[in-house]
Amino acid sequence: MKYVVLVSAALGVFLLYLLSNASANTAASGEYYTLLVTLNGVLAAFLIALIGYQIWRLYRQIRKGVVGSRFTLRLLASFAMMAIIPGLIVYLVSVNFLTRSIESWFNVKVEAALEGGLNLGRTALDIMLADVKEKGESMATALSFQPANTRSILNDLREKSGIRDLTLLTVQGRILEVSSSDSATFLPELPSVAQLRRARKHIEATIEPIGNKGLYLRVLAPVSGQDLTGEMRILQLLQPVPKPLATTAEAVQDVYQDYQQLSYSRASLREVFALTLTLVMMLAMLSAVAVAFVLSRRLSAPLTILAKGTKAIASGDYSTMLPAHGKDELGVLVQSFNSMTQQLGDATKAADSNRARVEAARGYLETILAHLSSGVMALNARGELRTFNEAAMNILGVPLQDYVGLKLDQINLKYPRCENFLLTVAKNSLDDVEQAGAHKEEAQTQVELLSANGKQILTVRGTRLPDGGYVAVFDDATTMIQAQRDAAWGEVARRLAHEIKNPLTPIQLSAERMSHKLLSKLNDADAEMLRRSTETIVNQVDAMKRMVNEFSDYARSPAPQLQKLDLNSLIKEVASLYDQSDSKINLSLEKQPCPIKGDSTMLRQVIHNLLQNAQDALTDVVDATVNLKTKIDGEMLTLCVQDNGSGFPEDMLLHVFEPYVTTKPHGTGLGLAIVKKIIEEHKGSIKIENGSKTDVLQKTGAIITIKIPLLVEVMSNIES
Amino acid sequence: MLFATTALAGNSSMNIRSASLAVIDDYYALNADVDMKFSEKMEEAISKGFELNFLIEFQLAKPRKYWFDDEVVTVTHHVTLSYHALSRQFLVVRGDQQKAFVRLDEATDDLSDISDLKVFQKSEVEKGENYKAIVLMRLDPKKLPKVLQGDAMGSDDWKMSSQRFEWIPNLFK
Repeated sequence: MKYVVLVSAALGVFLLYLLSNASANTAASGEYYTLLVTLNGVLAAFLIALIGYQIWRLYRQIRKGVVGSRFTLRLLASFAMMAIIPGLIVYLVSVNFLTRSIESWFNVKVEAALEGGLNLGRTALDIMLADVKEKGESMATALSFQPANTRSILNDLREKSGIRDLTLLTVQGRILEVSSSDSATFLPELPSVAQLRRARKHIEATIEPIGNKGLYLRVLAPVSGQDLTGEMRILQLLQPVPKPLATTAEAVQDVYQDYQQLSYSRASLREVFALTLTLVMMLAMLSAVAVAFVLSRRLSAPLTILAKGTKAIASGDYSTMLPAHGKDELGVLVQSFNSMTQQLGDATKAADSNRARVEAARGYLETILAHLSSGVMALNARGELRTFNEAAMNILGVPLQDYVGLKLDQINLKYPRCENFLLTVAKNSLDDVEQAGAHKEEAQTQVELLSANGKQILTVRGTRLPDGGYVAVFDDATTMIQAQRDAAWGEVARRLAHEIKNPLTPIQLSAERMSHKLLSKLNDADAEMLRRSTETIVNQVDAMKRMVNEFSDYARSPAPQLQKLDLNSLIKEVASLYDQSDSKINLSLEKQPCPIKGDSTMLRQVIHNLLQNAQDALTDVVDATVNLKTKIDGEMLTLCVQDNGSGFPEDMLLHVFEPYVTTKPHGTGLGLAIVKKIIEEHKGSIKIENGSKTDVLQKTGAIITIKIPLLVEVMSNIES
Repeated sequence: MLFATTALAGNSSMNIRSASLAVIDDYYALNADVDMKFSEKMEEAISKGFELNFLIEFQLAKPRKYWFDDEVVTVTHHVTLSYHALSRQFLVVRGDQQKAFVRLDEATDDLSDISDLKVFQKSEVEKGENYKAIVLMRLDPKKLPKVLQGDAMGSDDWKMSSQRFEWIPNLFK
C-alpha cells in the first residue's frame, strides 16, 4: 500500500510537471495537452479510489475495534486538514487571481492601438498600391497603341516607373513579354484565373503575400488595344513592398492576430488554466491525503503493538515480547514495556510458587489432622465453627460439615447429646477471651456424654489461636477409662477373693467340728439349735465362697477357647433349662444357621446371666415373658433379650456394666460386667436400653442387644 | 450520411458529395466534391487569424471477406486555410501552392474542391483485383492552438469531419 501511494504520488508530480509545461508553452506540447489532462484525471480518479479503499478499510477496522485504528483516524484527520486547508486557500486565491488577471490582459486601448497599427500598415500599402495602380493605368494606355514588339517599350516603362516586374499576358494567362529588374527570377508570379477574369473588365490591384518572397503589390491592367491576333492583353505590374515596411507591417499583423486569437480564446484559456490548477490541486491534495494515510499508519503502528502487548498481559500472558522499535521515545517505551512484562512475569511466577508452597503446607497439615486419632475443632474469633477433622466427627457422631459457620450453642440445639462437650468448649473459648494473654493451654477437662453405646468420656484441651480463634483438641477416653476401671476392679476382686477365701475353710471346718463334737452331748432342743446354727454358718460360708469364686473368676478371666459353634443351638440348649420357671420364654431365632467363632462355656454363661437377670426382674410380674431373638444383620449376628419387667432405673443405665452395680438386693453386680467382658472378648458389642410402651409387650422393660461377628466363611456361603 | 443529417444549421459541417479517381499520366488522381460549411464561431475564429489545417485522407484497400481489409495505399494531404489581415485576403495553401481569396466563401469553395490530387501510381494496383477507395476530410485538431483544444473537446464547433466516403472505383477502363 505504501509503495502504491508513493509511486502514484511521484507519477502525479511528473504528470503535473508536464501539464504545467504544456499550459505554459503555447504550441509545442499543445497536441499532448488533452492526453495529459486525461492522464492526470485518471490518476486523480485512481487516487480517489485508493483513498476510498483506505477509508473503507479504516472504517472496518474501527467497527471491529482494532487497536490503534481510532488513533490512526485522528492522525489522518489532522494530516489531511493540514494539507487540505492551506491547499484550498491557495487554490481559491490562485483561481480568482488568474481569472481576474486574464481579463485584465485584454482591454480596449490595446486592441485599438493594435488595430490602428494594422490600419496604418494597410493604409501605407494602399497608398503604394494606388501609386502602382496609377502607373499601371498609364502603362496600359501607353501599350494600347502598341500591338506588337512591346519588349523595348516594356523595358522603357519599367525603368521609368521603377516597377520591378512587368509582364504582358494574354487573357488566358499566357506570357507575351516579361521585363524584370530582378535577374534572379526567370518567370514572374502569375495571377490566378479568377484574377485574370476580373482584370478583363477593369483594373485589378491587390496586395499579396507570395510564398517565401514576402509581400507584393500586384496590379493587373487591361490593355485596351488588341494585339496582332486580335486578342486582348493584360499588363501585370509586380512590385515588392519595401523590406522594412513589409517586416514591420507583418510584425504588426502577427501581433494583432495573436492578440485577436488570445482575446477570442480567453474563455477557453481561463478554462485551461483553471482546469490545470484544479488538477494540480486535486492531485496534490489527494497525494497528501494518501501519504497521510501511510504516515498515520506508520505513527500508530508502535501504539498498536503496545496495545496488543497490554491486551496479552491483561489476559495473563507474560511471555509476549514486543519487537524492538528504533531508538526514539517509542522505542524506549517498547523497551520499558518489555522489561515491565518480564518483571510482571517473574512476580507472577514467584507468587505461583509461593501459593503452591502454601498449598502443600496446608495439604500436609490437613493430612496430619485427618489421620489424627484426636478430634480437632477450630473456632473463629466469634466462636463459630471453622474447621474440624474426621476424627472429631467420628468421636462426636455429629456431621459437622453441615454446621460450619454456626455457633456452638446453635449446634447444641440440634444435638443435645453433645451438650456437655459443646458447652465446655464454648465456655473454655470464652474464658480464654476474657483472660487474654494468660496462657491456659494445658487446661484439660473431662466431659461425659451419653451415647447410643452408653457413656462416652472425652478429654478436652484447648488453646487460643493467634487470630483470636480457639482450637479444641479432644480424645475419646471411654475405652481407656473403662479399661482402667476394669483393671482396678479385677485387682480388688482378686485381693478380696484371696483375703476372704482363706479364713472361710477354717470357719466352715470349725463349725462342722463343733457340731460333730457337741451334738451328742446336748439335749434335743439345744442340739437342734446347734445343728441349725452350724447349718447356717456352713451355708453362709458356702455362699460366701461362691461369691468369692465369682469375684476371682471375674478377676482371673481365662482366655476364651474360640471354636466354631452355632449360637441358635446353644440358645435352645440353655433355654430348655428354664422351661419349668414362672416366666415364659419366647424364642424367635434366625432360620439360617448362625455359626460364630466363640467359647461355648463362656457364651452359655452369657445366656444364663441374661435369662437369670430377666427372671429376677420378673419375679412379681404377671404374665411374665422373656423374648429371645436372633437375627443376621449384615456381617453381624444380633441377639436380643427383652423382658416386660420394670427395666433399669434411668440413672443406672450409664453404669450398668460396671462391676458391683446391681438392682438386686443380693446380687454381686458382676453378672452384666462379666457378660460385657465376654462379649468384648468375642469382638462383639453390647447395648442396654429400656423398651418403650409401644413395644410388643405393652410394657417397659430392659432390652439387651448383643452383636457378634458372623464367621466369615459362612458369609461367603450365604452370598453364594 | 449520418453526419449530414446530424449536422444542424449553425454548426460546422463537412460532407463529401462525390468522389472519383481519374488517370493522369502514370498517376491516379482524386477528384472530390465536398460540401463544407463553417459555423459563425469558426468564421469569427478564422477572421481573428486562426489557421485551420485540414487533412484529406485517402485509402485504397483490397476488401477481404472475413478479415480487415488489406490496405494498399494510404495518403494524407494537408490543406491550410488562413486569413491575411494586412491584405485582407483568405489564403488556401496546398503544399507549396498558395491561393488568395478576398472572400471567405471563395476560399471555402476552393477548399471544398478537391481536384487532381495525386494519390497513387498506376503500378501500385494490379489488374483484375477488386479495390475499394475511401476518402475522408477533417479538421486536424492537433494543429489547433492549445487554448482551443480545451474548447474543441467540449463543443461541436471544432469537430469538423466528413463521413468516410467509400466507393468501388473502376480503375481499369
